[in-house]
Amino acid sequence: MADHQEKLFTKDTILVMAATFLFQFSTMAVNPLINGMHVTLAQAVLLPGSSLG
Amino acid sequence: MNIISMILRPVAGNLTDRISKYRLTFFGGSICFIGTLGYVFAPNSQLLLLFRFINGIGFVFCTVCMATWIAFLVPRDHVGEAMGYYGLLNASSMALAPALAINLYQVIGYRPMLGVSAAAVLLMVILIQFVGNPAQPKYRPQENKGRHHFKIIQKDTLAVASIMSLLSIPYFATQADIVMYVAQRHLNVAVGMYFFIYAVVLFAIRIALKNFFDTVRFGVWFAICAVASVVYIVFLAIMNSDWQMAVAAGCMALGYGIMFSICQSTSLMLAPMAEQGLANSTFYLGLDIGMSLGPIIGGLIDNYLPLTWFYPVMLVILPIVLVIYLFNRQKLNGAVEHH
Repeated sequence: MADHQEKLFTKDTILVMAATFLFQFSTMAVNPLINGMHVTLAQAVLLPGSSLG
Repeated sequence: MNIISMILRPVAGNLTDRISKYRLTFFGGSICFIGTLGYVFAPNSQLLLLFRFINGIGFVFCTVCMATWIAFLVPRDHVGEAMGYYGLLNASSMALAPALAINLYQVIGYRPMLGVSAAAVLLMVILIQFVGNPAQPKYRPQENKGRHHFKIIQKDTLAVASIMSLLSIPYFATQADIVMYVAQRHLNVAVGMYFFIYAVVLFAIRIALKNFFDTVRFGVWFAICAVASVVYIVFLAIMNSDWQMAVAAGCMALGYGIMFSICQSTSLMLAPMAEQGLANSTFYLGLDIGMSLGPIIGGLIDNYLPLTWFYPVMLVILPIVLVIYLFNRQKLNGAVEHH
């Protein structure tokens, strides 16, 4: 099997791009929430902001 | 998470050049799923922090590996176009996901919203099972015995990574501080629309440019993007109305969003096929540095200078970027011929 396809959009490239979107969506959806959740969980806020990094 | 990224980028790059992209993405995606699912059930902040570290490990492997996987699947003379679409997907998720998360968690709460995030990454792990080409690496241990060592960076891509790193500083300073900047300066603008406008303009530009990423020299893009960067920084400095903010967001899409894809595809075209993963990890290492420095420099400006200087000071970056380009222009402009 050839390593490379001849077209830009093939089943494989569309699947990997869709997977990329889902992965980035997951990461970016967590970012604005994680510090708030961290502060909520920490009874005494020892390390505010450290969770998001 | 940024610290983990910077430490693990070279590891991810070297592994990407030795292991199939499918295997590494599956590993990274599974780690991400464990980390994200951990957020949903974390009973205390210490465990939340632990799951953040786990998620960070998966994040590094997935970002390096998936971009390399796409570059591997497309013809070499379409790498620029593919990276353009890849950058567009990133920008879309960066614009949509935080807005959705912030609005939805207020209705359903933190844990269910984090569950949605875990479901998205699980779906990603399922999707890659249907990809036919696992992208086996070019590297053959028996052929490279004794001369293929662990490398921290891909030296051909260092200039591109440095340019990306510097251009990322005003972008990530804006991402971190624009709400504060608008509030403290009492500006009458709909700041919540800023990154939405950015994503829409980037989408329009990306569609209009078709395959120009693969045929136009780096220097042409660099000149356009440098001018657009000056315009967006100046407009952010002087904005006092929605249309001025929209001009800034649109020029940022051109100056940073397009340059992101150009730099990523250039780094892949400059590096040999056996070091595509390392080239991507070097590119992302530059991005990580810019991502860390942006908010730090923004904070320093905010602390030590009047807020009106926040953006004008950022203009200092552009002459430095220009010098890096001028010293490397022959190599960078020749990248489009490396198909």
